[in-house]
Amino acid sequence: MTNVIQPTQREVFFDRDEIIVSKTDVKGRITYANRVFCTVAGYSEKELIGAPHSIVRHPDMPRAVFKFMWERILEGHEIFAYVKNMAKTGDHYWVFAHVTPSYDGAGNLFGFHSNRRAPDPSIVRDAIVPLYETLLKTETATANAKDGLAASYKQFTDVVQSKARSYDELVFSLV
Amino acid sequence: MTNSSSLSQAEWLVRLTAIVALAGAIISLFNDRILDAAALGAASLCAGVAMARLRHARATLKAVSAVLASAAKGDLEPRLVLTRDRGEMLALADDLNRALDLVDAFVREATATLACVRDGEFHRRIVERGLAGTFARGAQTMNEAVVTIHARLSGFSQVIGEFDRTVGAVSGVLASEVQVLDGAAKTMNVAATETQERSGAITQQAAETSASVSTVSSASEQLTASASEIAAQTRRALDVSRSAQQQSSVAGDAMTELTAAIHEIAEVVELIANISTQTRTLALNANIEAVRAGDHGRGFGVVATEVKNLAAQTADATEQIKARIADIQAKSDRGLHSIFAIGQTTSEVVEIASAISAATEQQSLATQEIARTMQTVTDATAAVTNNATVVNTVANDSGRAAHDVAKISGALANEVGRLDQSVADFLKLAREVASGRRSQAA
Repeated sequence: MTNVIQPTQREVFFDRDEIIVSKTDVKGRITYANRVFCTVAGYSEKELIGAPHSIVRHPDMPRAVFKFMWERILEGHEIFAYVKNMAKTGDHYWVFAHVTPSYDGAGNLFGFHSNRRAPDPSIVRDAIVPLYETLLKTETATANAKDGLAASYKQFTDVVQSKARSYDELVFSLV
Repeated sequence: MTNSSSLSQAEWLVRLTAIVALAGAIISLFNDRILDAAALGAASLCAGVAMARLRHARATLKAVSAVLASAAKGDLEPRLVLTRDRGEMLALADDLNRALDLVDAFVREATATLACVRDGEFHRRIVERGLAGTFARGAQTMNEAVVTIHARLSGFSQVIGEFDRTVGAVSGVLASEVQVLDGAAKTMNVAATETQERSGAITQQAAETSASVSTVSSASEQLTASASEIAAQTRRALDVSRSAQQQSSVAGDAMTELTAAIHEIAEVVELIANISTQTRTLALNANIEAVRAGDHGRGFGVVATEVKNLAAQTADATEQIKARIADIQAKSDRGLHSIFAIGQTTSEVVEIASAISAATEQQSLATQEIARTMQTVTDATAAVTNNATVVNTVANDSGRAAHDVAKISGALANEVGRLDQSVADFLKLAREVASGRRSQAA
């Protein structure tokens, strides 16, 4: 279904006071989507609940970033990331995503919570877009998807290491 | 009924209305009042539908209540999803979700940020964007607190660094100084022991030297005595030689005079020889004259012949005298020669005796000098023995002192070690405090 939508490369924005909130189960299926999510993504609540979170994944996003996010989140870390999401119309919107694991009273992981805020457009334009374009180019340049991902993942972690002590520090140095 | 909610009361009333309307409809139907029956039937149906809607609203409210009850227990996870209602009910659900989202976001942000602070990471801030009102103000205050804590810990870190540089350096220097002290004490101890050994050896050697000096001293005394004896003998030899020299000189003079006398005698003998020759010539002439004179001259001739014989005898005698004189001359020449040689030899003897005398004089002086020197050496050796004894005592004392110093420096090294450890422990603890990371063991 997501394959059908063609990206328009038209950017839409949401208010800086608003937060896009969603919750998923451990497999990434949406269990809660707030009103802002529905409005910005252009999906009804019914369409979103039970759908995989990748429903809003934009083809311009390098897979290395998601790989990195998943690794961090499965280790129990919170993770911040700049993500280009795609609405039902094919339009896109940039978010500054904060994903945290959710635990039940017994301490068992039962899902993830994501707060997505409107990012600073200059950070997206100057730092994120060029980096993601480079990573995506690496991923698409290789015939073997697995090798491409490995190469771009290394490229990504190298960039992070060259710029800060840790990924988290790098993210907060940009904010 | 008195404890029932307005919704329950409304439900009861609607249910009652439905039953009453249905009853009215049935009664109207039996009374053939079809229109009434239809109207009441419709009313009953509406009341039934209203009852169903009310039940729906109740379900929504129950869901809202359940979510709120969870939130009240601290579980912020549940949300109202797929609410099948519209208008106020949907707005209620949305508002509840929004409120929970806000609280959830704040709690997650604050928890994560303070967890970072707890773990000594200060890059994390609560993302204030999207937080409203009290939450925004609370987030701002917490972020300020993080900045302040970080600044204070950085300041503390600097102070610790300063402490490390000063106290740490002092304790380091102290440790190395103590090591130097210890080394010096050990060296001193070794030196003291060695000095002790050496001073013992010196004392022994001084005693040996003293004995040797005594031997040399008595030897030099004997030498002085024999040198004096030699000097006396030499002086006597010199006197005798000088006397011989004088005697040979006198003998030389006498021999010279004797030679001169012999020469004079030889001249006289020559004169006699000449006279005898002339006499012979005269006798010969007289003979010839006597021959001429014949007989008259015979007597004269005899005399002349006698004279001629006498002259011949005189010539012989002078010849013998001349030979004797030549012999004497040769002998006196030899004697003169010998006497000259004796003079020369005596001069040499005198010279040698003088040299011997000077040499023995010098020898005597030298021996005296040796004797004096030996005395000095004896004194010096005694002084050396005394000094060596003193040195031995001092070495003993310094050995004890070195031992004491070594003991003290050992104790000091322990203390410095403990100080070092204390400083290191303090710094470790302080650094942990400053970095905000307490070690697991602590």
